[in-house]
Amino acid sequence: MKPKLGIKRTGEKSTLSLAMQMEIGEMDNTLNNALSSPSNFLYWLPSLWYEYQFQTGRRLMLFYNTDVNVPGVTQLLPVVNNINPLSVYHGNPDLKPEISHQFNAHYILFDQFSFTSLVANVSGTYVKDKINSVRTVDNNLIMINTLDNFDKEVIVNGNIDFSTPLRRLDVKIHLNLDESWNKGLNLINRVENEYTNLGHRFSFSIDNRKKEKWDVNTGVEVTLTNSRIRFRAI
Amino acid sequence: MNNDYFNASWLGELRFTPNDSWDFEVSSDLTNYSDKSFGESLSIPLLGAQINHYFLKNKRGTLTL
Repeated sequence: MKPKLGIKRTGEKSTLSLAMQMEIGEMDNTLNNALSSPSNFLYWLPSLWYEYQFQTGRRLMLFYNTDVNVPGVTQLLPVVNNINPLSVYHGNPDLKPEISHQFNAHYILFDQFSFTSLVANVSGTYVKDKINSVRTVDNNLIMINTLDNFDKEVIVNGNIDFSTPLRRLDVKIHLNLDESWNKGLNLINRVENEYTNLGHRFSFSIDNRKKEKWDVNTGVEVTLTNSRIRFRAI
Repeated sequence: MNNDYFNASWLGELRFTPNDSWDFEVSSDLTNYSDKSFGESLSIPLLGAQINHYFLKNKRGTLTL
């Protein structure tokens, strides 16, 4: 059950929406008529949306949202899947739902005379009780995979997108820069691993402006990802 | 365990629409994957082509190949 109450205020240049949602649920796992301990949960999920228009074509949007991700059947089922006998999987019936908090700031600039646009975006996600992998390799080199809740995962992303026409060449160019960072935990052979990924992506593309019969688009993209893992004693 | 991954790709798309009934598209993508632990990098080319024929009033029918 997800009852929600929202309120919206609209001004001359701005709009503000606030909402509060309540999510109530009960998780029961039954296997071969055996019921494992049922759990009840109740979450308050606030959300906010704010938009401010500075002038025509210039706009700032702020967004905050919370969400609950209830584990699925394959994540909960404790029956062993041994299709690949060297890498077996079983679910974890004790998994708790993940709770995520998402924040997003979005700025749009569009010049209607030159058809130049600039879009900047910053977003962040904090996930509490993140469901992540647990891997154990036994003495026979068989990998046992399952899932568990970890303290948190953090994801931060920034993106800038720019496009403008080059009238002399009758083409439009498009540049995009994306930076992302995330940090989380998983478990390998009962040792906590803190993983950190830092990603950089840059793309450039060019296409013709008048697309009456021909539409030609070409571009390049480079991506660099730095992945780091640090073992943590538990 | 630590690693750095580097990908570089080139994309090209060409679309020709001679009239309201026909549409021809070709696309190509060449991506080079490399990282610290690979001995050498890997390049994967992808090619795609599509022909669309629109029929019935207001292009309500489409045949795609």
